[in-house]
Amino acid sequence: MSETAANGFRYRLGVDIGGTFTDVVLLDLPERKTYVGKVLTTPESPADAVIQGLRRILADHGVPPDAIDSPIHGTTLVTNAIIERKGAKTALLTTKGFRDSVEIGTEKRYDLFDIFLEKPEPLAPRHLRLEVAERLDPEGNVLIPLDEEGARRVIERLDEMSVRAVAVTLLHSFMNPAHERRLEALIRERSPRILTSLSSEVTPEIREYPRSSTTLANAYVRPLMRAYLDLLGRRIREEGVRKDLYIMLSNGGVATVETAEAFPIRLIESGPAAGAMAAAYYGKQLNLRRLISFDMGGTTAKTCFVEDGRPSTVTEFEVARVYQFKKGSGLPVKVPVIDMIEIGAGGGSIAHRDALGLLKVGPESSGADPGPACYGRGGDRPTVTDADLLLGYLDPKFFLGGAMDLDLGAADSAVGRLAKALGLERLQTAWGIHEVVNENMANAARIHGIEKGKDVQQYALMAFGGAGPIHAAHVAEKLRIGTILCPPGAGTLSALGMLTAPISFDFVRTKIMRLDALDPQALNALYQEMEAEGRALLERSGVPAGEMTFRRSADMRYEGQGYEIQVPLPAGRLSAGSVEEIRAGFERSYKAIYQRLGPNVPVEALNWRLVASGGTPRLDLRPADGAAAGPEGAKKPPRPVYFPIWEERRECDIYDRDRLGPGARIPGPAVVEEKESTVVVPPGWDARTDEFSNLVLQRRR
Amino acid sequence: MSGTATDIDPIRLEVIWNRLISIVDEQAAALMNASFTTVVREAGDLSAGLFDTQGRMLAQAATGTPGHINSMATAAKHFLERFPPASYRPGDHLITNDPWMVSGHLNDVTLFSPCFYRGRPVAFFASTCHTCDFGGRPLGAEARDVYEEGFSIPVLKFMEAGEPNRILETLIRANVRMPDEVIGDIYAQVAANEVGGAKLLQFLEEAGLDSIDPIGEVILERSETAMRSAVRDIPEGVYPGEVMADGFDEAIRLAVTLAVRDGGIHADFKGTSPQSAWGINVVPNYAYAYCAYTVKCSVGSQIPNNEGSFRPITMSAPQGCILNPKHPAPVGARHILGHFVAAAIFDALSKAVPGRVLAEGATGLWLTQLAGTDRKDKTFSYIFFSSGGTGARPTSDGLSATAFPSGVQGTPVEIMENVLPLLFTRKELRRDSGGPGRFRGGLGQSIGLKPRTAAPIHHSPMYDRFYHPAQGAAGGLEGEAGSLVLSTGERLHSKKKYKLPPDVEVTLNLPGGGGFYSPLERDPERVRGDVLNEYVSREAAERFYGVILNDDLTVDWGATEKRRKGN
Repeated sequence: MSETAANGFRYRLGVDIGGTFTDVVLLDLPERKTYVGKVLTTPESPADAVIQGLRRILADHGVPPDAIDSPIHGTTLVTNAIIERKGAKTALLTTKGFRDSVEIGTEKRYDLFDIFLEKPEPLAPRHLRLEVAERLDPEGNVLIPLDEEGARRVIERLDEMSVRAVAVTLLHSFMNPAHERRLEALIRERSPRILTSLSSEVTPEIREYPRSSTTLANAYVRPLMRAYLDLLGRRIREEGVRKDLYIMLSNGGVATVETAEAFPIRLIESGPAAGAMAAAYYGKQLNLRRLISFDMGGTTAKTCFVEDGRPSTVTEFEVARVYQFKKGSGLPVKVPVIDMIEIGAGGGSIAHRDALGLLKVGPESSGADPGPACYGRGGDRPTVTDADLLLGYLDPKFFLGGAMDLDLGAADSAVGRLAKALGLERLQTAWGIHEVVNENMANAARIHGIEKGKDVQQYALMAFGGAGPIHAAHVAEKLRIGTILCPPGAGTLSALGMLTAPISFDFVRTKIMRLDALDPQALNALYQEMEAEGRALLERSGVPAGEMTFRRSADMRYEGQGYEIQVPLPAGRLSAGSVEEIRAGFERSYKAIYQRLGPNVPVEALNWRLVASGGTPRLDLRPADGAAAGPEGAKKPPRPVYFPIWEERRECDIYDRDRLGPGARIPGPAVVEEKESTVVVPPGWDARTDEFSNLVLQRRR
Repeated sequence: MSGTATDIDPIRLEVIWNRLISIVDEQAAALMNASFTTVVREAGDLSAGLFDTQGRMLAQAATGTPGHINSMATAAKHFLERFPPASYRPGDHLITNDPWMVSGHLNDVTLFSPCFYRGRPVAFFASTCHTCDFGGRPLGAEARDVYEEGFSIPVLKFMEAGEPNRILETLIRANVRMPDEVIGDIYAQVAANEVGGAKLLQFLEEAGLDSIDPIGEVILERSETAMRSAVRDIPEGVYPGEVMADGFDEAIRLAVTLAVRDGGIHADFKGTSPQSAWGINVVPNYAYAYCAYTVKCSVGSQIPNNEGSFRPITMSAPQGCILNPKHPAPVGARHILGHFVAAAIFDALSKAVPGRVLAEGATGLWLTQLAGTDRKDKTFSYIFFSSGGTGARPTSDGLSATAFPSGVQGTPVEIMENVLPLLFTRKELRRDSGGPGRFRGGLGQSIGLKPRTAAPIHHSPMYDRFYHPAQGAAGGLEGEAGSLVLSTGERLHSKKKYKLPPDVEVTLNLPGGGGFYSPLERDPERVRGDVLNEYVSREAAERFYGVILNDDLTVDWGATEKRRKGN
């Protein structure tokens, strides 16, 4: 069914710029084959690496540039610009009396006991935060008209201070954007080179601090991203690619360069989002309705809930945290992002003994340099990878497919020192490191689950990232999960995820309305408006009308509650009769989270949302070549491996994943090795390869 | 596999301990999401904890505010005194809001629930949360006894074997202004405690344990040992400290003597002012909460909160003093002086570990209680929190408009204007309010508001530091005092309820924090930055910091040096 894309292009191309490598992935649609290339990232001019990677992969596989459909691009440039404070000189324009909302923030310390903590500094210092006289009431009515004379004087100052970008955030502007729009016009009049971001467009939602913070961040990175995307688009065209570039968004959708240039803040998490999209893709292809993606790399582990092939999304995110894993220590950003939790648990996480004599792992990481002790680059503190090596889960001669030798002796003495401090055996300590890091990840997933109202036991785990498949089964045991999916190519799955993303745009309007006083006419008007905008954007992106979908939801709560839950809404025209349907939807979602309904209190909605998307690209997994075969032919020499029920290392079967044919069955305990990772199949588990070369682990009953 | 206290290895202990903390975090998350009170969800005014069968607190959620967290630890004992373990059935949920038993005023409701495993109680879950109204006078400092302050619930079963106590529920509904929200919050607490219980059972099964008591013993023992060793970082000795506050109609002195000995620390509040006739009295439970909290901020901040880590810290206050008032003393606005306990402790600690304290800050969280009738004749009652500046640190500036020692947060203006007939005219940092120092105190803020009603509204202020500004430390200067001023020019009392007429604007000027070390030692470039950003005026730069700026706001180094030498 997927011989070529609907529009006749044979190849799809994805490019992901990461901190170290720029990954390029090429998909041959009729052959259903993917090719992956890696080049070093070029931080000074990121487009260079993209072009280099593009040329190489096209040359390697003899693909003409004009056979490529719209290339899809994901990047961490926005995040990096904010973390490294490399954005433009940016001013903030606010309602008189409120320029400090971005500095005052929540008035809360994000750590109760650390009296020496620092708060993140706003992206615009106070002398670049200027005020204009105007005021709206909560319904959007004008209480004080915009003082245009005063505004002109303020804008003149912006120009004198050679500001490149301006964020405009007026109180209640999400109810009535007139004053913000007028200010934009006045700025353009006076100095057209200043790029303006309006809060009523970037994130038209109630709560002035996160809205200002988001708009300011958008303004801050806009000049940089505009220059970059313009340049990249031009250079890709110069290479002979005919179709326009698309940009990956943090909610797992893709958008045109035009949208990305206006709202660069929506790209903020586009890299990790791609990984979750890959999980969504597998979920759909393999009919796994409930998946938890589990991506464990060198420094962090990320998980995300994926249901019916759709990753769950939230509208809140934090960037540039002062303490990487401390909620509240970053700048709040209100944009749709794939809802992932990230904790400081990776192969490089360092184990130590704390003041209470307990074994702790992470969040401190040895990073890539010096890396774990077994890398032999001078690291002497024990890490998760060192423990995994001692436990026999990793082969010192077959790390990264043999590209790098691991130093077993160095790992042994690093773990040995810790063992001595704890008064434990060396092997027991290695297992402890493995166990504690697994517990940390399982706890994080559990709390995330309760926050989202999900029962983790109902899910299957999809493991990827360099360390994911090593730890997956033991984490699954803690979560009482019985099925694990390990697709091939654990290290490059994210890049594939990019190619599976649909074009999509998010809209939101705030209109506070009680359900028992629902105004269907007003809502229909509001949705008509949003859908028209969505349709126009999709059309401009080349999506045929038949493939457009519009998904509605509302943020609802019992009147008087402080926070909302997202409730799906019926499509089509709403009428007085829709109230009961919406209420039922609210009660279903509420019950799922809190086990019971609230008291007899009216229900209200705050925000009305719409996601307009194009069709998901058709892209099918390719069945593996070769006939079904037993695992015997894939056996490698056995080696001693540790599992807790043995209380020691015993000889254990080792398999070469590349030589396993479809349908092969492996009873645990076993270790299955591939180039980028290793799958650990503990006692009590069985593994089999499916027709698409996935390894599926199943817990025995 | 119910191991004894001694044979558990550090790995299994870490895994189990971690899980218990994760379980109470889940409990707190469930409560925050389901609560009907803005201050619980938007401000985080709650706590959640797990107790062993003897009522000893083993784990506590990471979220919450010290006043609730630490005071809940002692509350369990009161529940178990009234209802011994044998009297519980699955599905029981006990309730109280007795100020002397838990966190010091009637608005804080605590739910205490047994968790049953194989037919017997294995643990208890408790949660405390601030309810928007609990009858009586709206929250304030002006009651003359606790009976005036609201509806009091002794320890009772709110639910018995899963069945709600309808009489109690009806009584509560009849005695509070916002019955739906109040009852809704109580049910949210029930649900949260049930979430905790369900997760604990799952874990016991998985770990093959039939009791958490033996492991609890180890947790308490380890925590106590670690806390004692942290306290040993403070040189042994006796250290006096004090702090002055405005109080209601006369100044209040909190005096403390810290005795540090043998890895223990005792705070004796002898010399503290007698109890007040107004609702600013602080029950010992609540005073102790801030006492223990402040010590932990200074040493041992990484040690988990549980009964073991509290053991080395003890407190006494003479009967009848403002930190140990006799029932039925009014206690509604107990948080103000409760927060000042932190400042007294830091003052004493500054004589022992000067590098681990803060200069005085705004200290007392400002509570604004508003009530009235809107233009559609609907009554409203609402409370919001705001913060001044924290004291400077020995290594860095104080934080502007940030709560300390309280752990709660403010509410967005857009949210408040949506639920209240009120217009905020400004909410901005107060220039020159941070106490000058090599490290500057955090800035206070100014908040202006105006009713949008036909009739006047009631404003109950619960503020302090109008007459006793935050003191600097080690040569740092004091922060600016607070004030409450009408647009008519009238200056108001810090704690007396008054009527605010429509179209009159009131401004809350929150105090700044004190500075650390002499301001003449502050880097002139940083002073220049402060002037550029209008944290500090040019005049103050010259007067306090001895820094002379040119008209283009560059430092006039020659004049500055001369000025600083001449000082």
